[in-house]
Amino acid sequence: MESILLSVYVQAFIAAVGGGILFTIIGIIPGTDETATMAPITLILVLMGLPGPVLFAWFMGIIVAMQISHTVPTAMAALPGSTMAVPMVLYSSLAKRLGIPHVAMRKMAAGSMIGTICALPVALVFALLLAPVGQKISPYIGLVFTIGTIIVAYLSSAKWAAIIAIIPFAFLIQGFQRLAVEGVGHTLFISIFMGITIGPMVSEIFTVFAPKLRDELGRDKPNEIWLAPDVKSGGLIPNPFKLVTPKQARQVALFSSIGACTFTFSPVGMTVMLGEIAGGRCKELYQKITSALSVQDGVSNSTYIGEFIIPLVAFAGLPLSAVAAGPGASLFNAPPRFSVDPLNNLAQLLTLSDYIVFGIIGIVGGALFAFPIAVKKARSWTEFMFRRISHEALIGAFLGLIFMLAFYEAGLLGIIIALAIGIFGGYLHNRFGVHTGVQFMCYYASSWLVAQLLSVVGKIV
Amino acid sequence: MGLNKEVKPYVEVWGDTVSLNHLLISSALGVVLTLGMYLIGRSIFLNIPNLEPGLAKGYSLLVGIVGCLTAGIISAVKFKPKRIIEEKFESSSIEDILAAAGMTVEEEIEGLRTLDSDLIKEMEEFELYGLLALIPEDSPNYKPEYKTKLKEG
Repeated sequence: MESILLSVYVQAFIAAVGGGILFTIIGIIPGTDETATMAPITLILVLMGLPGPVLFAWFMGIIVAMQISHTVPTAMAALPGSTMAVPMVLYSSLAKRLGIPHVAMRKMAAGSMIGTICALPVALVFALLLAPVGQKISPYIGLVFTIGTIIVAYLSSAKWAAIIAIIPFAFLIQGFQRLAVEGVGHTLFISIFMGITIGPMVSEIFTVFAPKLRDELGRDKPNEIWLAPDVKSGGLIPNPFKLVTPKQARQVALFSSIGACTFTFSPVGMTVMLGEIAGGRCKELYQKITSALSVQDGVSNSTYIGEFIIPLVAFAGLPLSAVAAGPGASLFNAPPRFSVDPLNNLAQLLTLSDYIVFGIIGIVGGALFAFPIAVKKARSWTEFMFRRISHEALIGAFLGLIFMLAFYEAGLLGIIIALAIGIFGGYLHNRFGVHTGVQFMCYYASSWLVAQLLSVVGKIV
Repeated sequence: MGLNKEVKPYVEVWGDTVSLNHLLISSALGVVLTLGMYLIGRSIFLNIPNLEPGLAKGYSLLVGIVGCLTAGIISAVKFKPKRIIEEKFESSSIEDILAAAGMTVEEEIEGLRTLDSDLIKEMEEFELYGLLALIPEDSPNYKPEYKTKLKEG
């Protein structure tokens, strides 16, 4: 018996480390979508018949690894390493221009680790005690996100203009959703999100084609970039709490703990909202960049873990969250092994102590490779990138990825919608300061907001 | 503007300078190779019997990513970066960066006046003298050496 138990622990650790290494690499590739990469590989392991605790450690490990390594391209090139990293692009591009992309990477990696450490206990306690209350909030998600969007809009430099812009932008998104339902039979996520992300770039390229405006973006000489010096980060495995200031550590812990409980919300939405609130409260540029980025990666990680654990513990495996229904879907429903009706999935294979023990194994195993690399190699990789890899190559590859993911979601229509959202949203961002964070929030608020407005407007004929 | 009809050699797109021709070629290459490889992968994997459609789509995306990386490598080899790595920070660019963050220099000065000493220490470590030199003299964070260090680089 003892040896069998031991072998489960060893298997779990191997799965977490192996998954950690694999998803460190996947996270470094810009634009890779979590659902598209995590779900199929996890499905293979489920169908191979791996024990429940091993599957749990595996999934925790790949979440942690990917959330750390997706910061590498995000910080170095301002290209999002995954969908979850999309909200971090704006602050990363500011860090890059300030010469501190490696500092940004470190702050995100440290935030991610702190977020993870908070997420496991908070999510478990919340799942056990407060889940019934959490369910009562779910009917009001639309309202919560609309209020969040208004706050984030007011905190942007566009102020009232950003608040006014919410309405046309929400109508634009919902209009495209209607077109998508007619064209391909379902609403869109990847295409719209990626469209907002590439917006600032698409509208700049669009500007270049207008002879009247071309001069604005023309330059006589190449960009001059400065790279801040490195500092020692100490030890083989650096201490995440030393990479942020004590105040930032407290802030990350607080916001991550909130994120770990909001299992009915979208992780990207929470990352946008809490990150903008953290960044918006800062008055100074360096403080704004480093606080927002560490909070964002902390929240994205903790919300992800919360959304994975809470449906398992509190709802016996009903996939009630975006993560449980998306990237983690095969741990909830994977015929013939797992099913939702009757409930027979990962939740039935784990006890409370399994969540704690194998959760820790997963976190440690997943971070073992990704975290030291992200911290220690940050500057040398960035310098290599600056000297050797042209911006043209990055943009070209990234555009290819966007086109493929939009096509994957909705065919040619997905590409057209992504570009259309990009031109309009990019112009709002570049010209008016209605930044992409406001636009992402708008996506989450749009469905509820437009329905409410229509119910009022529709009565006045 | 107006008088100079000559087309400038570089364009600033997404925070860095590029050559427009190179950008258009790399973009076309990226889109054609990535999407092309994805479509080839899809036509192969969807025709394998007994393969879960979800898995087939996942594999096709992986094939597409191979196309994407290939496009990136070709463009990286063909087109060299259009950036100059500076030895010292140019303080003149601070205004542009602040503008990109939706801030003004005045707001930044006010922010620096009352900033945490922990953050000031970090900024010293990373030699962000471009920002530190903006600290007004009546602030506890003010040190005269920031301005001299900014000039020395």
